[in-house]
Amino acid sequence: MVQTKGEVFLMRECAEQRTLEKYQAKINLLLALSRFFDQGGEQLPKTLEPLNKAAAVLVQSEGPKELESAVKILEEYLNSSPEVYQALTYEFNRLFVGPAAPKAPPYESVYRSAEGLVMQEQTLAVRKMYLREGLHSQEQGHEPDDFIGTELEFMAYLLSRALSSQQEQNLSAAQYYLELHREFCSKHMEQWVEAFAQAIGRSTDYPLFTALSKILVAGTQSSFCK
Amino acid sequence: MKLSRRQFIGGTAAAAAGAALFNFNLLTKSVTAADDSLEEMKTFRNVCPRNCYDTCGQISYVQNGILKKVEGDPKHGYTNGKLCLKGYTYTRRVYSPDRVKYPMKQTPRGSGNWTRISWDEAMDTIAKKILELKSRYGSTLPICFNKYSGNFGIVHYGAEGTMSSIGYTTRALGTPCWPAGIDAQTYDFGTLYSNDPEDMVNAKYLILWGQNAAWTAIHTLPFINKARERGAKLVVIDPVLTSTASKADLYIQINSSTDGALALGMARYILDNNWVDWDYARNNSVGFDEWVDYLKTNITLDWASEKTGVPQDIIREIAREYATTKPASMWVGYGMQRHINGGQNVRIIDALGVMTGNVGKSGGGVNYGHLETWGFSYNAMVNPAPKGSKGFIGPDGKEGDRNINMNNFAHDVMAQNDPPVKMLWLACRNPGSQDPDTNAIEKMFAAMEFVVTVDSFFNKTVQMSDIVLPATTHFEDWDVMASYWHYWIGINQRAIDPLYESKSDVEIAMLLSEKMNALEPGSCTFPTSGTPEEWAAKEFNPGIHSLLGISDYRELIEGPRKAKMTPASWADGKFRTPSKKIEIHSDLAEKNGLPALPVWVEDMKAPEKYPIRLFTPHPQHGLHSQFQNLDWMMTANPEPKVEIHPVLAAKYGISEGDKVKIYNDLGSIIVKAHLTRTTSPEVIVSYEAWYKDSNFNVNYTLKATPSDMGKQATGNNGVAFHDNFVTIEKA
Repeated sequence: MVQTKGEVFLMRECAEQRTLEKYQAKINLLLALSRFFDQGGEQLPKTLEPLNKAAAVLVQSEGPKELESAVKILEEYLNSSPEVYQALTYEFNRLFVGPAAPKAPPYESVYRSAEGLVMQEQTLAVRKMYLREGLHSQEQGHEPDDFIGTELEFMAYLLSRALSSQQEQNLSAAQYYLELHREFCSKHMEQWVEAFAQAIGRSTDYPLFTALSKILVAGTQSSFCK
Repeated sequence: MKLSRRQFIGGTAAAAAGAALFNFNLLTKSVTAADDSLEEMKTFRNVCPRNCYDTCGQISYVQNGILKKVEGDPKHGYTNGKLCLKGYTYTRRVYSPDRVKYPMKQTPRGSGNWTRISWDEAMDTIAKKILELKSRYGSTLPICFNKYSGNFGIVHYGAEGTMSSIGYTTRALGTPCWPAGIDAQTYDFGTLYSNDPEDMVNAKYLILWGQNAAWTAIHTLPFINKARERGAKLVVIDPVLTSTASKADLYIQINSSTDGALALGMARYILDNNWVDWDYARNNSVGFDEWVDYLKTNITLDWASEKTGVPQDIIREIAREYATTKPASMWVGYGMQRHINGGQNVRIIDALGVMTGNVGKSGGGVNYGHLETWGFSYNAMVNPAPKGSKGFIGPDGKEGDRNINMNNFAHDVMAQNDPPVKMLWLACRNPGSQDPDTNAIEKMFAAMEFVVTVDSFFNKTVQMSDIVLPATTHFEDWDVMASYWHYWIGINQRAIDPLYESKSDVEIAMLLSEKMNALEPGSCTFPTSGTPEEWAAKEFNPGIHSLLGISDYRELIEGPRKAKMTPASWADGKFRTPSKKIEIHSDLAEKNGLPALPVWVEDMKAPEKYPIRLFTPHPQHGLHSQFQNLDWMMTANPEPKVEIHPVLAAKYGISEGDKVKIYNDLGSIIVKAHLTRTTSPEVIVSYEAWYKDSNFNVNYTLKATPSDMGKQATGNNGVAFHDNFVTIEKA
């Protein structure tokens, strides 16, 4: 039987004795990042801890060394006073929400389209990829489909499908989801996440958000799963 | 009810694809089969709702729910399938990442510390504040409402309706733009009523008086050009050599605020040569001979030339041509009436039109604007005050809203004591940028307990608010729009879903009503149901149907309609003054403390300390504080400038590109110098605008000096925007 690329991939995974937990850790990180952006600055007391935990697990298991300091910064913020959390909320909104022009708008097409606007070709391309999985953004038409939180959730979903397929020994399904994940990463997330992270980095004095931008970039690389 | 994303979070798991359980928060499983094909392009009819002569018919192109482009509507006979440079930027307005997206709260006001809140929390906070103020003061008069021209769609009068429905409130009354001229034409003709601008093709001679159509009414130019192809001469009179002036056959650089003196000089010369249309003037007006006596006794060409800076031979030339080339059209711009004698100058120009028999004629007219096509139902605006509401007892003894002067807003808000104003609600309005005396506006805002602003972008007023509510753009709304210049009316369809959590003024009113009545039953009379299309439909009535020759608003989806009106205003000679004739002698004007006749009233003289006049006219790349903040405009016109004549610049040691401090007792601005001979050595020019990420605002130097007229028809006199005196130095 000819081995497909995906099967080779999975076999190599086994050979490297990767545990399913590592997959789960990656999924958890993507979801934690998604929640972080989606639930907004007002929910940081709730979203920061899971994010820190997910990032820490990944760093311990295999994460790049430079992320250790980023995770440590996150951890330092965990027991912040209400005043600090309040300040972080304002900063979150200044960076990502508004009402003043956000310093780092969290939408793919703003970074990638020639126009620098929302709802451009990238938005539609992302919508199409969701549709391939029978999914769509709950706020389609209102919120841009290429909102960072939605893209992160889609990536987490694809990996979780790959993981469950692998658990069910459905290797072709696992292959399909891994490749789709890689395609999404390379066609979308990887195309803008660094520009987004740079926008964050140059616009904030809060170590939390710089740390977050580093974790975001590292956590969304498709190479992470190789 | 649809769950918002945030409500959804924490709920049970959404349906997961396949066997795996996956808790979706943002995505959801599609119920319909996957279809990733490109939809066919759909088109919708829209109308630009901005405060502009042209009120363009638009076609929006929408694919997969996304606005792809906006073009002019070819079925619109006046705008004729074309937009202006602002109109072509609309996709950038809708899809700018800078838009205000969600309701947000600032703590404290002005700090830049913003929290995102739900609509429910926003409405709860606002409703509780309204009810608390009502209970504290026994009325809703401490709530002050200010809305003007951010969106002139008829359904947007629902913002006024929001206020009516909570009780009697304090209202900013008036119009900053054009009231002096409106009153002038009200005294003279009974109201403002201009010829169809498309009728300008029939003019044999055209005078544009303080009117820069190339920037502010570009769709009239083809009609003017058509007239010129047929031999008409175009004269532009303006203190500034504008883009429009540059296209004229004759450009006259007049001393500011002396337009009436020029018209009087022309009138005297016409009289001396007996080019007067005595029949028209005597049959259709009262007081004409009285004015002729005034001309004979008081006016000379020497005087007119001296006053206006226009050489006598030029006055003679345009007087002869205007009086003898029939029909001759005059277009009186809004810039020329923004003076302490601006309304009076318009009255004199009106009289010139009457004297030559150019009023009531196709190809003629003294054209200023009209409101003949605005007879909508204003259904969203008219809500009764809740039972038991306490209002302000006006001079007529009637109980109602407490009106304060929109054109001296900061002062008038602060001057209220019984009860004081404690809360502001702003819709379609940016006083932080547009009102005179920005320092006073800032102080007044700071003195408020609570400020709510509905807007699409983070402008100066939003910056000074407690709560901002995200406004839809007109592509996200149903509405209907008329023009104050052309005779067309168009329907505005909802072309795309409202982005983020934006809502229209009426949708906001419905939400507020729901909340207020939940907190205190009977406290708000605004209806709580109706789709946006239903609200638009209710603005139509038999009068509008008959004016447009339709029986249902949906017929406008096929294309805008032109009102069935004669092309020449006043052609029937039925004037709407008390005497039913043109009132060259106006008792009403006299009763209001103004001259009865169109006689010369002195212009404002520059004070010794501040010898330079600062003009702050309408810009090319924006409309007041709209458009200039968008990316294309910021690229094309990245920073404000002040235009200075080289002779004046040399006097102050200023070179091209220098930073210049412009100041007077009120305040100062610093802006880059551009040396140009398009302005005179007496006048410097800096265009009013709101630039992104900039606090530049010409109004820091602008005193709220009233113009001479406006009170009669619009409730308050205008602002003498162009009687602003400053000095300059190299910064």
